[in-house]
Amino acid sequence: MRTNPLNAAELRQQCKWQKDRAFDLERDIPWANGIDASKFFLPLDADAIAFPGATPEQRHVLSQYAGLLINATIAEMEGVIHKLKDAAWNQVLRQHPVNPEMHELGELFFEEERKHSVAFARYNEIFCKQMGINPEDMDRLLPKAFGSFFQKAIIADAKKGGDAFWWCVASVEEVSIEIYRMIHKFEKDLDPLYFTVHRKHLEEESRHSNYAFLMLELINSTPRPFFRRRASLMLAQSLSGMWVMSELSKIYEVKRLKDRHPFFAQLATCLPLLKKQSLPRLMWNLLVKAPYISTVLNLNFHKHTKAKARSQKIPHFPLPSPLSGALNGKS
Amino acid sequence: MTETIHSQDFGHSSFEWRESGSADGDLIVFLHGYPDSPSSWDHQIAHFAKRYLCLAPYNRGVGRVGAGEKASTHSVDSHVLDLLSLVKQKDPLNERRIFCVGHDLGGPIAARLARLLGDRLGGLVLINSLSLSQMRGRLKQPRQLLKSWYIYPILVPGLTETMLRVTPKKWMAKARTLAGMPAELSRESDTSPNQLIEPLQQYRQYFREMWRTEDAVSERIDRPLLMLFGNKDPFLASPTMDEARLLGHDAQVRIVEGAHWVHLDKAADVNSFLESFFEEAKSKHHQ
Repeated sequence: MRTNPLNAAELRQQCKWQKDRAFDLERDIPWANGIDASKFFLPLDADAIAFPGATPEQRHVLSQYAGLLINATIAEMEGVIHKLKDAAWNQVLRQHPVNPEMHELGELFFEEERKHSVAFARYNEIFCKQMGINPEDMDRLLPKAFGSFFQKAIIADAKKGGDAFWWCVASVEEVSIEIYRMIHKFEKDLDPLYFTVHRKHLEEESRHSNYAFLMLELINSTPRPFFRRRASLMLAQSLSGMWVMSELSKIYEVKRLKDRHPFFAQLATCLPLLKKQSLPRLMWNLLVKAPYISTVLNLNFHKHTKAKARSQKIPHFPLPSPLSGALNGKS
Repeated sequence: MTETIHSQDFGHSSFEWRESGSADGDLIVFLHGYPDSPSSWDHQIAHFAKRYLCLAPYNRGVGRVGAGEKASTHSVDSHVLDLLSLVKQKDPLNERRIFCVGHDLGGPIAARLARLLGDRLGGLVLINSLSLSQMRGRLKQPRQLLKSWYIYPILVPGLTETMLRVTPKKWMAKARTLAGMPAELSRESDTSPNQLIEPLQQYRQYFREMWRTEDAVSERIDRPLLMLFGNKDPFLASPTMDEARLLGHDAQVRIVEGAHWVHLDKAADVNSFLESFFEEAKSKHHQ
């Protein structure tokens, strides 16, 4: 939805719309039903994301691991947003001419992001509890943004008036919507609770996804140093790319966990499939072909973010066009 | 609702104002800018006169009686003294709330009046306008210095006066084209070049006074403040919340699509924002 930041009535309407349709974390998600662990969490392509030749059992565990990874990524990214509220939002609104409705919408945005973060983290906790996995063991395999170099660099950029944070937020919003678009055809094959959490998330994301663009418009409406303006998206791409790649490499930790639970043991059997590929080939696959991961890393998937950058004449790292293979949610 | 033009000498010089509205309602003092007249507030007066007593004074040198070209006659304080006398006449028992609304050069006068009204002040509204201390702060902003290009020739005594005396219509047409001045505003000024020339002293006087303004704290008000700006104002950059809070802690910034004369171009929107602001300010005043 394209909103005019100066149209008070439109912004008020959007605020009301978001409040009226917001989901209730306790009431609207059937947590008590638990997780159907016999099902996939995410449909996989023929190469099982980056594990070509995986057996049906391996595909099952890889689908669940990828599902938890996506959950943890969203939970961390949307959770860490709060740490940046003052530097990247409050300060910006104080230093730019802006209507009061932008404050109200922003408060709502941060509140919704916090709720999403809690929802995804809770799903992962329920999975561990239900499967009898020690959550601390699982944490060693999943991404963490709090206290990371990524978080520190984004805060430092925001404090100096940069908008790399809002480019990251815009991308994360698009990725969430894109992931739901990829999985929604496979609803019957996937764990119902997993699907519900993502559907509820999508509904709110699509309602507030324009807020990052409103902030980018606001920040770029005033003159800024040439380099800071032109480099902001590339900085966001570099930081988020480095963070994602370093967090993905945590999968190698599973070797140390394989004796702790059959889930880890099964996942550890997949590592040789990953290592069979040369590093350049693997990187190429992750960038252009691997579902979910290429969706996060490749800006060509973030059509609105890319269009915004084009309209504001802000360059980005060129990336190859993505290749999407057919997904399968059963075997 | 009948509107009348009043004239009185409060001891400083002849003072004229338009008056309309409810005899027992709260007061709104509308202060126009350059090169306007109280008629620039017609849309607001028509809207608010049902419930408020609307006073729209002529700025010095505008109206039927000239004020001369002596700079001190055009000082903010000189104008505010007349306004205080007018307010005293309309509210001798100090019982009515007073809202000050200033546009353009009316802003510094509205801000000073607001400060001197103390508890009687309901709220202050600056429409595409700044207080003197805010203007001084803008001297550090290159963007504002560029937007203020038209002030520099005005500061040279005699230059702008000569241009306006020789070809007033040509210069006003130029100003209209550059600034997006609504045609309905320019009728009065077109017919009387003196009304354009005498108020030029205001620019010079305010420029001097700007340096003498002690600091932002001395201008601060403790009542609600609304800074309402058109985002395409060619003369003034829109204020930030930090800048608005220099003038009042309880500040609100409102940006609308429009140029310098938003109260004319977007009268319905502006009236609606003023209405909400007045009601909110009144409820705070009661607490």
